[in-house]
Amino acid sequence: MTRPIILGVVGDSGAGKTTITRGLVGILGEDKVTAVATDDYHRYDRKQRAERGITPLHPDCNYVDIVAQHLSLLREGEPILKPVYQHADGTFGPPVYVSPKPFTIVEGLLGYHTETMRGCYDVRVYLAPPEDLRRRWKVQRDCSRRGYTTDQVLSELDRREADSAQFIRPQERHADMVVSFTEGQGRGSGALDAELFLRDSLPHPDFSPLVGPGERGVTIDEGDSETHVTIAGDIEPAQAAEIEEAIWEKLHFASHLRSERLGEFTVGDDVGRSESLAVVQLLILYHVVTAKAADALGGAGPRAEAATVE
Amino acid sequence: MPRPAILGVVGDSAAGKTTITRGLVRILGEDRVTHVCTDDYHRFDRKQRAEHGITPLHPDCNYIDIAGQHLDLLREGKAILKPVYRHADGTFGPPDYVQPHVFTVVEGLLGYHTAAMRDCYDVRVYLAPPEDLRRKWKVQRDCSRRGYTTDEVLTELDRREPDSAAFIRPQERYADMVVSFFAGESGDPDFLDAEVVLREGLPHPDLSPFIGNGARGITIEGRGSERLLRIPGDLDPARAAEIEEAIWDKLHFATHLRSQRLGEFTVGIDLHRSESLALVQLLVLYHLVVARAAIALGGDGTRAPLADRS
Repeated sequence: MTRPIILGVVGDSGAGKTTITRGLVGILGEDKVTAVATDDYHRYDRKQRAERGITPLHPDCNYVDIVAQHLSLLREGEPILKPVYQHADGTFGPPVYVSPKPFTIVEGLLGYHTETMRGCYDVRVYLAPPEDLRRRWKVQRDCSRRGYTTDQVLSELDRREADSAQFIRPQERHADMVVSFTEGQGRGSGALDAELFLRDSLPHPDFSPLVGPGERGVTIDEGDSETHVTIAGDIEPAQAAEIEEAIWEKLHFASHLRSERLGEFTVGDDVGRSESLAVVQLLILYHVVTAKAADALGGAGPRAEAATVE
Repeated sequence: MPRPAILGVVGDSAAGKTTITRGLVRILGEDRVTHVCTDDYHRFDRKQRAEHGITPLHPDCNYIDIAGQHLDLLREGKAILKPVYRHADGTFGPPDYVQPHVFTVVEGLLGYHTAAMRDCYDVRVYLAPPEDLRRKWKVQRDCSRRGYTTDEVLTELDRREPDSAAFIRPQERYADMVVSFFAGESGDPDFLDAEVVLREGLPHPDLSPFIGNGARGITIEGRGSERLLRIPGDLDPARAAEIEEAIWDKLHFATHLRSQRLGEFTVGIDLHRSESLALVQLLVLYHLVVARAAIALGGDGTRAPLADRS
């Protein structure tokens, strides 16, 4: 077997990590993806954290060295015995045996905290929604699925802010892609704008031919070492389709993966669909699939190539 | 830090693994020994084993490959996140972060089951008491410390016998030292005879100058490539002291470790001492200490390279 391709999706609690990855797993196939949540590597259970007054965002509250070790092992094609943290009651369950599959998706708070960890990924995504939007998402999720009250979530958010600022948000700088969904001009939650910073650490597909003069769907702003792309939440479906078509064309060797499942998200029990989310997911998929293809052909991967170009 | 020296103490349930290692750990210093028990790598908890009708002695009931991987990591000087199996209630607890120390002592049922595991050890000990003695020990231990009744333990022993024969006892052949204690004529636990098969994979100290002198001395019998050392339970204390002196003489660089604590064992909550046990432990200690010294000086232990043995 070729080695697994490892995607990191890092961001603060409630930033949308699971929403981004769910669509990717749907496309790549559950049986082909090992999902690892770094929350499983908490050092203390919920009760111990309360006693010690430590938040799960603090590196000391996590076995970050073991996360890196396990990612390296998976990358080498070795299985791991993964600890299990149960969000439902905040305790640890029996560990699970995880075999390496073609893809590994790592979701977590501190995924890029150490250099050793950062070195494990083929693709590094960081999610950076505006704080007010993230707070709303976190309240919705924690109250509906993790059994907290609104008050509890809000005071927890305040309690965590110092660690968020010190340990979570600085990781943004290590990402190949920084993704922020923002509310445009008063549109509903189904039509969030996507703002992307595409860094030179990976070779991104060229969007510029798709931005016609006067078109309002996509804007591109080339910077020194990063490109700033915005995709409007109300982008014309035809224009979104054109962008997706262009990306899939570059993935012509993987056209069997095409499906309509990108762009789905949930609000409570409702499933919605967003064009901008679909494009963002497809861009991430592009990098994961390209890395896999390069590795299958004995290449060192797009990251190494990008490094030589510099 | 140079890699740890790794000792394996393998044998069936209640064969005396903890009795042998406890004295060694106390001499080496608790803070300098990483203690790993392969029971922690059970795949199923007690309830699941009952449902599956599988005994903990069966390789399928254990994450053998992960145990090997973790030993490898410790050998490389890396920390591991060790699963924790709790004998008290037969469930798994939160994992333990285990750092490599100067020595690693691995106790377990299936420690020599795979070649990958066997390659990890500097010293391999296998405990092979006669079955009637082991049954007695197991009943004593499981009833006093693990909350079982005599009937339950005896039934369990019968249920496990096929797996003991198929998976546990065959591991004896991989050991550098096979240790058996026998009840002498008196049956007094303070005066068990010891028989030690010394294999040529490790260079054992020469005890031939101490042979004989009537019924209360040691004997050595050549058996092809191995030697059988017999230590009578009623070994003359003066003779014992002489032999121990000779072994410590070879460990002249480690005399700071000398203490009177070898040979201690418990019957229920009573502390006893046995001369033959002390001598066996000192022989094991000898190999571990010599391996450590060799590693510290840039060697790779004292095990004869495979090529030299064929």
